[in-house]
Amino acid sequence: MSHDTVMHARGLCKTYDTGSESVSVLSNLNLEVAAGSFSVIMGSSGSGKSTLLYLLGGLDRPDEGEIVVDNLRVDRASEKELAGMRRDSVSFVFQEANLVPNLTLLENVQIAGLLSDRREEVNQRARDLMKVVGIEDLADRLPSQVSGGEQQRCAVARALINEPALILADEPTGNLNSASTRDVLDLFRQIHGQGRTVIMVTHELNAACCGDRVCFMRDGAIIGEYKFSDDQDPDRRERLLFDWLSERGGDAWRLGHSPGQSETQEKRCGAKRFVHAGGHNRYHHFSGVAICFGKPRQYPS
Amino acid sequence: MESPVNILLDDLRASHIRLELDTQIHDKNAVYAWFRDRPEVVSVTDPMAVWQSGSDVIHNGESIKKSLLLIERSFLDRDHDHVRILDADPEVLSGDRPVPLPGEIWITNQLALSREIERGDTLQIPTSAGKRELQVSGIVVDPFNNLENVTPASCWVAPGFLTFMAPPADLTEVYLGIRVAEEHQAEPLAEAFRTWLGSELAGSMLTVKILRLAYGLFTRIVAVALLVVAILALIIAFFIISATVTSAVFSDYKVIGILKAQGFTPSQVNGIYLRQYLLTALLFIPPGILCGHLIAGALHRGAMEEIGLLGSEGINPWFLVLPALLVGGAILLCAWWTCRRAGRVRPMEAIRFGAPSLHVKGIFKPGTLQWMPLSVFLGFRNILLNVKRSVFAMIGFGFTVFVLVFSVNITHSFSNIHQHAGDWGMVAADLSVRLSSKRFRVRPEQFQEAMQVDPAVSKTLAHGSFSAVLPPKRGESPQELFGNVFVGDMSSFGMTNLEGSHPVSGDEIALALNTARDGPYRPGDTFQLYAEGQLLEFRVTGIYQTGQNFGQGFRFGEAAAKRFNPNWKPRYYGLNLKPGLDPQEGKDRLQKIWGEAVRVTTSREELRELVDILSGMKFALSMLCLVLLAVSGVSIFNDTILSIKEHRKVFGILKALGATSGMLRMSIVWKTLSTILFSMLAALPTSLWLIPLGLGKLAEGIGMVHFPFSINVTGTLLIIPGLLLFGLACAWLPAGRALAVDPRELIVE
Ligand SMILES: Nc1ncnc2c1ncn2[C@@H]1O[C@H](COP(=O)(O)OP(=O)(O)OP(=O)(O)O)[C@@H](O)[C@H]1O
Ligand SMILES: [Mg+2]
Repeated sequence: MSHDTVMHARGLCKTYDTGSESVSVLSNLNLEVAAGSFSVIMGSSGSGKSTLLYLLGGLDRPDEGEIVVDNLRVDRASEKELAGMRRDSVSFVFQEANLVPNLTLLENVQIAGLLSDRREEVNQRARDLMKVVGIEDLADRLPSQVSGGEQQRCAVARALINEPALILADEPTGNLNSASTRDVLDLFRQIHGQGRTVIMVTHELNAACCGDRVCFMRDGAIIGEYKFSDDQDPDRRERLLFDWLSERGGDAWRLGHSPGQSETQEKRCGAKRFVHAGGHNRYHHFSGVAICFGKPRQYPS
Repeated sequence: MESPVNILLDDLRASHIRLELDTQIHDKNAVYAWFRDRPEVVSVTDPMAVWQSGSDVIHNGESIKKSLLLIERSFLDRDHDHVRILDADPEVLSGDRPVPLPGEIWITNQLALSREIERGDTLQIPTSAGKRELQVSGIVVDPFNNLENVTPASCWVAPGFLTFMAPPADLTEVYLGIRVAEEHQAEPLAEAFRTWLGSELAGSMLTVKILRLAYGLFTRIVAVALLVVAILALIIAFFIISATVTSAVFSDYKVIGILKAQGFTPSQVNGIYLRQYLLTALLFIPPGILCGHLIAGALHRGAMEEIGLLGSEGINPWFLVLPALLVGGAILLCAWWTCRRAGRVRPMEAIRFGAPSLHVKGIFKPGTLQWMPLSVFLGFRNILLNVKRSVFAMIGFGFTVFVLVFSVNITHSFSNIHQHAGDWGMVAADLSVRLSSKRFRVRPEQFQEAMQVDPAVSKTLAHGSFSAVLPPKRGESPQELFGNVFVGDMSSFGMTNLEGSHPVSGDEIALALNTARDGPYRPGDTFQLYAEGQLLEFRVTGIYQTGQNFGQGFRFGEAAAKRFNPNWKPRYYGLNLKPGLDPQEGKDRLQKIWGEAVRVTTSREELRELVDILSGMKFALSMLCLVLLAVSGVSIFNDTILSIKEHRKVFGILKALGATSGMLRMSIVWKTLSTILFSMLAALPTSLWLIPLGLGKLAEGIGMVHFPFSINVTGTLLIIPGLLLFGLACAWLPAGRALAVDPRELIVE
């Protein structure tokens, strides 16, 4: 592991037992993430992206392989060490904001801060962060009283309050309309600009273009990596990435299916439908701007 | 509850009046003839000889610490005063021989139960000629002799047998049982008898009215206890139903929204839940009724056993079915009410936001979060989020606290009763001495002098009883009244007045509460009393309460007694020993010095009857406490599991943010603890205020408005950590099990 690697995973294997059969989700996956980098993970539905993220964040344990985050052997750490790691050095942003429904936005941000030892000035830091993500006026609203984009921005603020070294984001814009998506992506760019390490899973091309590299996953392993060069403008990046992806997955990728999918994989898609209800109808067209196929959301202001 | 007493009185054709006569003073045959010739009298028993043994009756090598009143049972097959024979020789059971054989004894069911005496056991009874052994050959029920606190423990022996037990000089008392045609004729007959007698009755008269009062008091207490349990059960049933249904509706909120969006009407949705839970509720009603029947039956049987009425009929099943139906109806109503919540779900919000999240703004200031431990904050938050359920839980705990406080303090009050003897209208003395009126006599002056120089005795109070008649008012019949005469300062032995002061001079008197109420008399009023052939006037100085004679009576000084009878002498002495001396040793010493001329009892023995009631109550109370604790435990358990279920997702989120399992567990435990703490804060003072008040109300009938309730401070305070620990244990276990779940699963669902 080179000196500027904040995280690496080696030989990761993960199998789920559904009772009737066991599903191999990750098989011999290797990943290395440099400090201060912005890695994007893409791949078809069911390829194991979320699973990977949960393993990296210590919310789940691998069957085999090693994960090291900030010099901590995550795969062997105790519950307590994992909780400490999540508190102080790794933060999550989920597809759904996952705010605590009965706390105000401000309290949602604070609560993460209060979990850590650095309790002083939590209030002030939370307010500052809310200003950064642009929801300072909504501090006293409940999650149900703000839009999905605003919820997601609150979730980002919450992820930042303990100044984590590593941020894991699982489709943070998956549920958002285009305007909100842009706002949240801008936030991630800012975070990255401050020198934090970000790993983001996404299905959207324009989101993927925020990163410095894209890892492409299929069948539980990373099968390729695309590095952006700094001088490319966004449109060009998107086109290049699209071409690169098309080479790997072809049209089938766009539909969420790998070509020549085996029968077991059909089954897996079935299982997947079961686990992620409605997961299949939120695939996005990319034509410069991501379009969400689901019902457009409208929120009370 | 009243009916068993009626059945017993009617079935056994109990006497309406029981007369105890001193045959040295009254002519028993004349009395018998007088009653027999009265038109309203149905039958009179032959005079039955009675004799009271000493208290050192030995059973199985141990003293039963109770004196027995041996009654000779008559051979004549009379028309009333039967006993119900529960256990005896076949010959007796078949009715061939209605009396015990010589050398045998029949005892009451109550004595048998409280002292664990069985048929075939032997009782060693102390007589002046040494111990005599009698074999228990029958266990019987007799309404007049079953209540220990109304009468001494009565037993029956063969006719003529008492002459083998005691010298003829001691056999001066007889019992007569009189039954009239209609019960209400008993009181007037008793008064007519007194008038006929002219002089004071040497002996006593017990009428069925007093008997009913005594049984009534007992049944009322049992009824109140049953009511408390019933109310509690209802509250808990409501609590569990509403909590379960509500949480089911909340967890299905989105589904309900979707159903509604697809065209389900509110009542259809409502119906889904109602049917689901009503079915369960209905399934439980028949076993519920059965259980209720068994429990009520057992309680009833226990209660009847306690007053010695075992063998009387069970409870009329309608008395059970009716309330069960009512309770069932109430439960259905409660289920329906909570299910309406499902019908009211608004589809748009349900689908978009899921279950509404209640928010409690303003309770915590923005800064609060900074210093309050997070788990405490979350715990409070959870309480406030579901105020209704928390309030229900608190009411349940409140009840438990109430019963615990009651149990702890009532036990304490009774076990410290000798310190409060004054409130019970008794002399609070370490030792009571009764001077014998029989063969070996000691003159009161002589005893008094000896006590004044006795090295062990610090204080003495001489007193005696005085029986008088209240002049009739407004055409009522005259009423016999028992009083106490005190030689010296009454307050020195703990006697108090509810209002006014103790009588001192010869024309002053203090009245017992119910006597004062019947007048009514107030301090300062004039009060007339008839005794020893003269009617004298007194000024009422005070009103006091007493647990004796159903709150009837009076107190006055020696001078007053001497106005009636210049020769009046005290026969009782209350003695306080010098500090640090053992009452039992003091008793033994005095008894040894004075021999048969005195009978010494310690205050504990004096209050033996009350202490007996206590031991019966202790068991019942501890059972009640255990049941309540078990129920509270189950409801805490249930509540914890429900609230974890409801907050699963939040716990998942917090775990992903880095909260440890321990912290989440603490937040749940905190919730339970603070619920318990809140309800204790409310229930403890309320109970301490309410219990003496309620006891006063209950005991008002016997003339005790201020129940001598003494608070056991340590015991009461111990309830607080005790219950908290209990709550901790009940919440800790389920909280841990549920939180072991993988955070990923928690979030994803
Ligand atoms: N608890 C589980 N039990 C069994 N199978 C599971 C479980 N969780 C996930 N899987 C399976 O593991 C595979 C990978 O799931 P994962 O959520 O990582 O996919 P993903 O790449 O994030 O997909 P998406 O793009 O739809 O979010 C899927 O096929 C899914 O069905
Ligand atoms: Mg996923």
